[in-house]
Amino acid sequence: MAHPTTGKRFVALSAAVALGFGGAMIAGPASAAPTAEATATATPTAAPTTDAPVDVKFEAAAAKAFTASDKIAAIGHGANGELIAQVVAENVDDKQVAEALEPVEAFAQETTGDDLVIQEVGGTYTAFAPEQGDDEGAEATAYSASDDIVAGAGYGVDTGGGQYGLCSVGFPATDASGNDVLITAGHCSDVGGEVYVERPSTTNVFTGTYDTFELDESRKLGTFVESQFGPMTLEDYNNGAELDPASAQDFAVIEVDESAGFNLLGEVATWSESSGGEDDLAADTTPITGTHDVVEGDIGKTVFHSGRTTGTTSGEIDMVDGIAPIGDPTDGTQYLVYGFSSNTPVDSGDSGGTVMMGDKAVGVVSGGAPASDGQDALLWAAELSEGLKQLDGDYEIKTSGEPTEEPTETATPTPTPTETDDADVDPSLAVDPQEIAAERFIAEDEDQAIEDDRGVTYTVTDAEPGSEVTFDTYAGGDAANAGSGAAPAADAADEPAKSITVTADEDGVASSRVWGLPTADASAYVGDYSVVATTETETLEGSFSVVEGSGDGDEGDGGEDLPRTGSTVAPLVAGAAGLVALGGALVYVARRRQA
Amino acid sequence: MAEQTPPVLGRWNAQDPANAFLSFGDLVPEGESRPFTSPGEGQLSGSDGCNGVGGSYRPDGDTATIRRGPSTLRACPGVDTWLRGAASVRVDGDTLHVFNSKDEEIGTLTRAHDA
Repeated sequence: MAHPTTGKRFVALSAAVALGFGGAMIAGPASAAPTAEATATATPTAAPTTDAPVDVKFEAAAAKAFTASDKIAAIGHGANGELIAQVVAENVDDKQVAEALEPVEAFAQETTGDDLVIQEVGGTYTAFAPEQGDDEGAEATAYSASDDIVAGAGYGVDTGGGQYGLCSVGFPATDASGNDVLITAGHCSDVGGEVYVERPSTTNVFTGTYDTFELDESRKLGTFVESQFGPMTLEDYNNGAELDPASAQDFAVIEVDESAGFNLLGEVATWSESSGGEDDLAADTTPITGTHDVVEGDIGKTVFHSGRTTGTTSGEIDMVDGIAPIGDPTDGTQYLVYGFSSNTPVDSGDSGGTVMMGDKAVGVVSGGAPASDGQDALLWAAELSEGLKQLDGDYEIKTSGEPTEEPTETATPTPTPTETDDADVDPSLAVDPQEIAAERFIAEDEDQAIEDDRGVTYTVTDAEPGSEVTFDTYAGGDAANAGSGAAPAADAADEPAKSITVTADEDGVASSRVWGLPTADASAYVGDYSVVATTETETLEGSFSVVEGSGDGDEGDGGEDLPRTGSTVAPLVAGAAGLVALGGALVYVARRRQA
Repeated sequence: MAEQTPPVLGRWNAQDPANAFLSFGDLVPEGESRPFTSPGEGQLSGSDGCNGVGGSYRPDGDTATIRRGPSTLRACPGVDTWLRGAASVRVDGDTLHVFNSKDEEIGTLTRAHDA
């Protein structure tokens, strides 16, 4: 007599182990994968004719049994030649099982002269590893993620109750202590969210559905330690709050579990078949060489994103330095997010993912809308250079070729903007003169301004050579009240500042001059002004005053006429898409970046 | 001819997902300007159970058309996010019929009553 297998819990047994019964066994189709090769020869076929070889008849009978019932684990021969059928214990009395075994029973009688022996077992064989633990959303598989983590990779964050939210990695980075972190979107999770790597080949990129996703739950990737979404809301803004990039954020930081052995790379996933399709996103990537602050001159330029739903797609920037309301996933509160838009196609799951301009990091996916009648696809990206300033910690994104070191200046033939947070000297702003007579503030044109040294000169030193520096001038002493006290602006939005963007020369110097045009009497310019200079790494404040000149006596409201330079940049106007771009005037709150 | 209290005004809840809803805000009065909605339109907010739904709406009798703004882009496997396809709606008592951009009805919401 065969000894029945005891125990209800069915740990991983492959078909080969079943052969331990001393004879040929055929395992039934593996329970979780109907197409697995566990069934070597058990393909359903018609019953063979009586003069077929015995083993063929055996296989045919077994195949019919397996087809008729999924409670039969295996059929084979015991040590003494008896025919044995392993049946799931709790189903051993099922009518369907008895019917399914009829051809096998007949075969047993015919060939052994004995009844078929029924052996109770805990369960049918599975080709996969043992249970993973309770998780409703993911399949219990043996997926074990590769150590390499690249920008754009998919992850799942446990939202409680076995539910997962899926998002994409924005940028591998390091914190001030050199610990590995991942930059992603704030709306993907609150602080405390636990993160797991998603199996690339199971994402929409390759399967076209959300239903196939798998996570590696055996090795936690990390935990959300910082998360900012807004916090300013559209309602706050409608109630009169000042727009401020500092409170219009959508960034979060995942602290990576160092002991887990992950290897963060400053590379962007391409989601190609040969990389993602083989569960190795690091096998095919594009480089990250630094960050870039998106400015007006970038309108029309191509950006691309990398994420777990649409892979990599690209579009053109159409609005910069803007603020958009993005609805909160749980309660629909409209939070404001500072960033830029492009017509890059994106879809649910791409949130938090990488947005690049060539090899420069520019943002993470914050919001979007699909293309619809009369409207292009819309990707709203939270601007990375601003986000890195606003996050509480001090983070630097990883760049290509330097996965474990502090990013340093990369040698390039042309002075393109590169990430250099380890500069010995921070940029600084000089405003000269800080007090000027109204008559010396006026100039006919740029030539006269330079020749007669009219107006006020701004100079930023120790900026990154070739990087962009923006000077925003505000009437009134307090930048946050730009336009206050002035004549009512024609537009409901705050009076826009005048904004100039210049490129720092090879010595890291960027300068600009402001003066008043003679269209207004000199005394009209009397008053206090503030200037905000924005470099790649710093936001600097300065101020100056225009005082009564040689006494014309006309009382001037200092804020009435903003100084106009020869190359004023006009602010962008609210677009049909419902977004507001406020140009350089967005930089209301200037504060020194914490050292 | 902006109707100041269109029938669609207020909050409407879904049954599935349980936390999905649409909320139609006050109309912007003629002569006022808001950055994201024009006079005659109102702000729309809500959730499809996974991502926020936002934008503006324009009422017309007991119907309203929706202009969607950008929404967050998380993925929530297992959640039926049918409401994100909303392009227009029609009020029928305490029931709101929701249609997609092809005018196909995709579901209904129920008017929320203040406690």
